[in-house]
Amino acid sequence: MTAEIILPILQILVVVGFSPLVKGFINKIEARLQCRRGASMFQPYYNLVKLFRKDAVVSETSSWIFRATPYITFISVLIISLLVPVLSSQVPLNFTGDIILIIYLFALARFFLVLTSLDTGSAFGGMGGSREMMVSSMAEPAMILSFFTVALTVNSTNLSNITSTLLNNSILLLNPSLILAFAALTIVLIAETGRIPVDNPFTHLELTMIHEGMMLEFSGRYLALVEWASSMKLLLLLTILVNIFFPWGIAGGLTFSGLIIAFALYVVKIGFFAFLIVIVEMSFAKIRLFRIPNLLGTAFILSILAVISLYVVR
Amino acid sequence: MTQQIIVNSRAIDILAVLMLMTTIVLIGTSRLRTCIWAYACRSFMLTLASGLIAYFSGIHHIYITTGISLALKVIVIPGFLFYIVKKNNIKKEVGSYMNYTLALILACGIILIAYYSTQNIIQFENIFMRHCLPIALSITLLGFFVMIIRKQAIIQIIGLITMEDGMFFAALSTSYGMPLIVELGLFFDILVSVIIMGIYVYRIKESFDGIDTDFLRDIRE
Repeated sequence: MTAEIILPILQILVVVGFSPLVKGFINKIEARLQCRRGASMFQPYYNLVKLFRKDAVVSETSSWIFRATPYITFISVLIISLLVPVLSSQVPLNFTGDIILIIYLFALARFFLVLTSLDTGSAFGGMGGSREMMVSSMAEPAMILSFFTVALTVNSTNLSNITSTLLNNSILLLNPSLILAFAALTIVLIAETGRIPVDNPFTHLELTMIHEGMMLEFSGRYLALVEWASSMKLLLLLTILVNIFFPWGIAGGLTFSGLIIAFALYVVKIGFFAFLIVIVEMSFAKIRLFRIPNLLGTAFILSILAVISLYVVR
Repeated sequence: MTQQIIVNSRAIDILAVLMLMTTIVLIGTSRLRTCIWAYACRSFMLTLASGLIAYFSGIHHIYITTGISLALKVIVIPGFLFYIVKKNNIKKEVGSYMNYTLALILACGIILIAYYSTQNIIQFENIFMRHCLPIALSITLLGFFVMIIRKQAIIQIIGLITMEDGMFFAALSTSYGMPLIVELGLFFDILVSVIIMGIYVYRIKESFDGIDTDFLRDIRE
């Protein structure tokens, strides 16, 4: 009984607590590789603390949507963090949601962010919102289809079942369809979290920004919540990728030693993938907005092939 | 024992899928250098796959073809293509007759056709390596597709050798390769054709100041 209480708390602590660190880690490594010293790895935490202390400025023309959005975004990402296997293959909210709910919770958060970007009537907000919708309208089908590939391989949409089946039956992971799904999901991850080939997270140059464009009007605690939610989204997508396709080390039960090992391996795996993201960011320039359909089209086609090849080659 | 066989055939299947992905890159990208890199990567996967097939099947002459294909397809031909690009100052963007997204969708259709049309054969013949034949067929067709939709001569060369790669992989995965002498002849053919087409690229560049094969239409008068 205690285990059932400890696991959700632990999981929320890991995701909520470590997500700014992942962002700081990526920034730090990237700076080091560019021969800069870079900000401290803990800089995102300082930013959050500072933003929470500041007052929020709300435009007079905005409606309740503007004030509700940060909370809706944060809470929907928080719910996802309870739907994803992080340290143990048992998922706290196992009884009520599966992989499809995750997709829609991400979509809900994005929908409200886009609404807010239109709400304040700023030109850049609307532009950022429409671009975000363009990217997500192409990234989402690829994401859904690659999740379905995984679900079809193990005959379950429940993430807890998926992870434990793949953990106990590793030969399923050698399925070529899963390789295609993995490639598609990696491209989707980069697009969804607004990393470099699609969007530059550091830019505040009006004409190029996508995700930052939507967040221009937020300030104070609202900005802190939205930023925190976006770094949690990065960590959660990484977690899904890592724990579905490389489930080794994840704790099957809820023993203390198992969780310690799981946590150590989780840190290693996330660190490795964060490093891969840095490598991608270093080696590509941001592509033009109208080239994004090429990249995401490739992801979509890879995921279609993943599903179809699963059916054809039985 | 059977577990081992499944793992072996899955390993080759995975290499086949990676080959397919690099071929899709060939269609989705507009950069010439990326195309040549994609070709080199795919050749490396192919070499790896043929090395694994040689190891698993214990047929020794496949090792020889593996060695030659490593030298020729991974090092010599991509190196030669880079050399042509550098020497002729070819522009980096590859022209296409078709918009890239449409090309990708059609490529997806081609791959699906390859999967469906080989389905009947795979079910009876080879229980293992089930992704290999459809992927070999789709690489062959995609090479042909690249030759149709792209304007530049260099990328058409890549399309041609892509087709040859597909044939080679089909032979390798279904019947453990052709007789050694046939494969040696094929390698020689490929090398000679790439060199001849390199000269042809040079001539087009000399005469028309660009390597789009469109220019050749101006010749008929």
